[in-house]
Amino acid sequence: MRALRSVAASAGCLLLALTAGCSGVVGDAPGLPDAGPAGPSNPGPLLVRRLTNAEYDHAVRDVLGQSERVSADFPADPKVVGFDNNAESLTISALHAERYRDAAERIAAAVIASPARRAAVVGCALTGDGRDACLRAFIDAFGRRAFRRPVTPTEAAGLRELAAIAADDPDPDMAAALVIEAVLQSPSFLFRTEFGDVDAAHPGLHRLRGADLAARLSFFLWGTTPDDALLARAQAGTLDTAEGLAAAARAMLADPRARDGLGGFYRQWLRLYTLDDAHRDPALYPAWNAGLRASMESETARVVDDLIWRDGANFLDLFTARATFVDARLAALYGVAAPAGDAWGRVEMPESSARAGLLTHASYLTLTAHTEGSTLIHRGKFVREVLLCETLPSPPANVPSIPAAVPGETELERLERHRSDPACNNCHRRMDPIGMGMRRYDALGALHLVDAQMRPIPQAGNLYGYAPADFDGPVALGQRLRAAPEVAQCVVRQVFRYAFGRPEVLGPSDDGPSIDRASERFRASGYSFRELLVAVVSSDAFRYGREGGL
Amino acid sequence: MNPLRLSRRALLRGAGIAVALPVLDAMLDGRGALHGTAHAQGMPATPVRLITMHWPNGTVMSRWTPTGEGSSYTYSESLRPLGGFTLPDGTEVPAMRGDVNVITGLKNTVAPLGVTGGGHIRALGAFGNGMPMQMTSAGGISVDQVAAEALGGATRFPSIPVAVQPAWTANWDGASAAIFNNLSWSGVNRPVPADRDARALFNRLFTAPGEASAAERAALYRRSVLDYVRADLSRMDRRVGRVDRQRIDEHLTSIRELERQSSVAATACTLATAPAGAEALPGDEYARLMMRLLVMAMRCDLTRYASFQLYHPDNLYPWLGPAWTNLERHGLSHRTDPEANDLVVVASQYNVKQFAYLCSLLKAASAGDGTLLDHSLVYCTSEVSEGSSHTYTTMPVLLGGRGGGRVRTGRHVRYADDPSFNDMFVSMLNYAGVPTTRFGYDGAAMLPQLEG
Repeated sequence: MRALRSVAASAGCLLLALTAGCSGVVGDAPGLPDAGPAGPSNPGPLLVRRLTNAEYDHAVRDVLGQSERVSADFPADPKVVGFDNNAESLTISALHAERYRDAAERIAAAVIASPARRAAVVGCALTGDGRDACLRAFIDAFGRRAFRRPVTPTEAAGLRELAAIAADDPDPDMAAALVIEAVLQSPSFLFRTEFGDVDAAHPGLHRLRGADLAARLSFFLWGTTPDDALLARAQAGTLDTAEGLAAAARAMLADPRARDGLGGFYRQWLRLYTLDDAHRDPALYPAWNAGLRASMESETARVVDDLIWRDGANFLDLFTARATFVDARLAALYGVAAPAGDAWGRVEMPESSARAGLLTHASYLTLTAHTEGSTLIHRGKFVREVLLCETLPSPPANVPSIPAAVPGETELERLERHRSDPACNNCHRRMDPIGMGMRRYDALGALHLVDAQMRPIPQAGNLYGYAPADFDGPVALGQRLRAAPEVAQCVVRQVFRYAFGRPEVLGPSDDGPSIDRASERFRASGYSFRELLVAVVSSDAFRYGREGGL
Repeated sequence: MNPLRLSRRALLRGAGIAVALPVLDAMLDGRGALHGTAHAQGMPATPVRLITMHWPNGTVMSRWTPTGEGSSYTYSESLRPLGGFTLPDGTEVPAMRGDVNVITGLKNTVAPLGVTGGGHIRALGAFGNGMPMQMTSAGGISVDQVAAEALGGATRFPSIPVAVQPAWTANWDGASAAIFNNLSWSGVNRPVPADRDARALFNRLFTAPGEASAAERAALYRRSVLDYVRADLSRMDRRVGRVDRQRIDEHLTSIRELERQSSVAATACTLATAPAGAEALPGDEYARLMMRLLVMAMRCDLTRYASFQLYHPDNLYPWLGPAWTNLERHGLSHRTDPEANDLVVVASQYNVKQFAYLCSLLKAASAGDGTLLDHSLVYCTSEVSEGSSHTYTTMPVLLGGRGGGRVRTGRHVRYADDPSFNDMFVSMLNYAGVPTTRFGYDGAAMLPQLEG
């Protein structure tokens, strides 16, 4: 049982404990009576959202053909409740401005230096009599893509004035370069600013239209800026009804870009990116290397993709599916037949197997296993926070560490002793007993039925607060989770956080009704993930905004 | 000792490149400022530089606190590097004991008031700003930014926050990773992000010679582009709502700062070669490279205020030896067995060495009537004192430099009555020429005993 050798060595009462109750839920603040405006539920605030670094990269790729990632030296975007697109945290500083300027200069220079990219972006000669017409056409077309809406006459005039400064430059394309630089540093590119129209029938609400909705759709489903076709749809007014939005969303989901875009959602939701920070002692885990790490991430991504894109798939099968995908590395880890060569193959684990569902994926079992122990706790914490949307506060100040193990005491006994302190147990009973049910899986997710002394390893676990609470191993827990309405609702809430760039606020006068309606449509569709996305997109929350920010 | 000689060799040692530095001191006037740079009113005769520096996960206090007080204190194990040591590359770092104070007894009074219970994050959220943290942000403006706002306009960069590791992206305890990644804040939800990349920092600070003539036209273009963006922002500002305006205003402020930077002459510090191969350096070497760049920026008077984040709490110290390869520092700090305590002491000695190294670089440069370190204050501590239990009292503070001659160094200063760490920031600001009686949540007076 290698995973447990050091478990709890660092646990203390420290990772998580709370003296005052441990049932916090993100956004669980009760709605104020009369807080929400009457009308199409409470759609949430209109926000100014800076492009995330990933969105910036995707946008300059799509608009300017920039294939290499340029945001590497931008200040990192912090993740809040799991996601990097939290509007409130997407701040801007002088260092940002500097890096945006430098990136804009690099990109502009690369565009005018490449005949192919120049032709795609500028498209005409900035010389001779045609110069002015070319400049106007370029500013209109490029500006529209970059700003995700038509360029205003004031903006176009300002950009032409700017271009005139380079009129004497030996390189006629310098004018185009300056326009590109200015546009890429403009707030209309860097920020998603939604204005909407004041809705006379509902004071305080703005109804979003056309271009605002195109941007919401595109960044949500594709993770990038709208293309010409979507902007044309927006301009024609076809997005301005719930039905029109649903139809547009279905069409976008049929586009390959949606695969990448939604990968951006679930890699964050399921914390797959944190595998990059996993470390293992090669002496204890000789199989561990970057290749195995990548395979772990890929397995879960393939399973989720399958559940998103296979027609008729029930997304909640994520927690129970016996079918998964393995390559040779994972096949060795799981003890199943390997597909040929470098290939990936779909395998159906046998009925009696200890592998079924996300909780037996090597990705989850590894990213929750820390080098210095605390694996039991973190496996439980993941279930609480990521799958049940609970928030577990950390311990208060000056909580004493649990003393070192007394002679003869196992790490498990030590954790139990730790939980015998009510202040610690209050939260840890929600976590440790979940991890207890996964003790047969080591820090790479390999299965061990007996310990070093050949004693059977138990896998009795407990999901405190749910009835029945006791379960036997992660396969059984997966079945329990799949049936729990809280889990299906949590999927909706995670999608909501990602779609709107803010934590949801439950409660009847906040986001509660929107989430309930989406949950109901998710259920009615047989838990089709794509139908959930369509439900979110065609909801009032997506189509309206409240004045006044957060 | 010729300070310049040390800098010339030391700046890029470890990066495996040779570099020729111009004679920087010749460009500085007698007060350590660039010729022609106006001194702000109310400043000490020579500007006092402020640096806040952070190491993660506290220490083992029983093996940190020195015995005895005043100038005759005896080192604890953890503090022994203050007596001088040799770096892995053979560089001798002289004893810095006489130039620094070891301070015990200060209290991080606001960490318990943070909105999330995370033992590290709510203390780190108060680091340098002394206000209770919020879920997405530190609670207020940090001491380096107060000085930067008051006096930073005299230099090209009002401040230069530096960090050594890539930004931490994951959540911890539900709060924003921004709190882990930033020591410098100009306000709530307004982090001043750190430079983390040696090459990018170099490019930001120093322009290579030969680019100057082509740069003239480029500068005109840059200015013109920024003019457009500024006008664009003003239009946007008129259109957006009251709340949204904050973000647009931040952008506008940032653009103005870029314009101001380009208007301050950047000719003084020209280095021939950027630090190549920095990515391949081990983490300890990389930290020292970043320190050399920061001190060079201070010697060139490109900035006077900085923060320096060694590492965030969840990290490894692999350069300390094979035993450390996969040893996660946060987990280690919560163990209380003797073996773990021994390891934490090794890590603490390492942190003290990095602090001492930074001080030695400042000491090797002359400024005004003494060394740059004489005209600096380097405040260095962790977010907690006792790492195993998230203790916020008796913080293990090191204070390097004499603050322009006001602070008497070489001592162990012990406070018995738990004064707030915010009083330290009140003192630092006053020594730097920013008169104030308050700072943060409860800073109300300058600390006694520092002037001794």
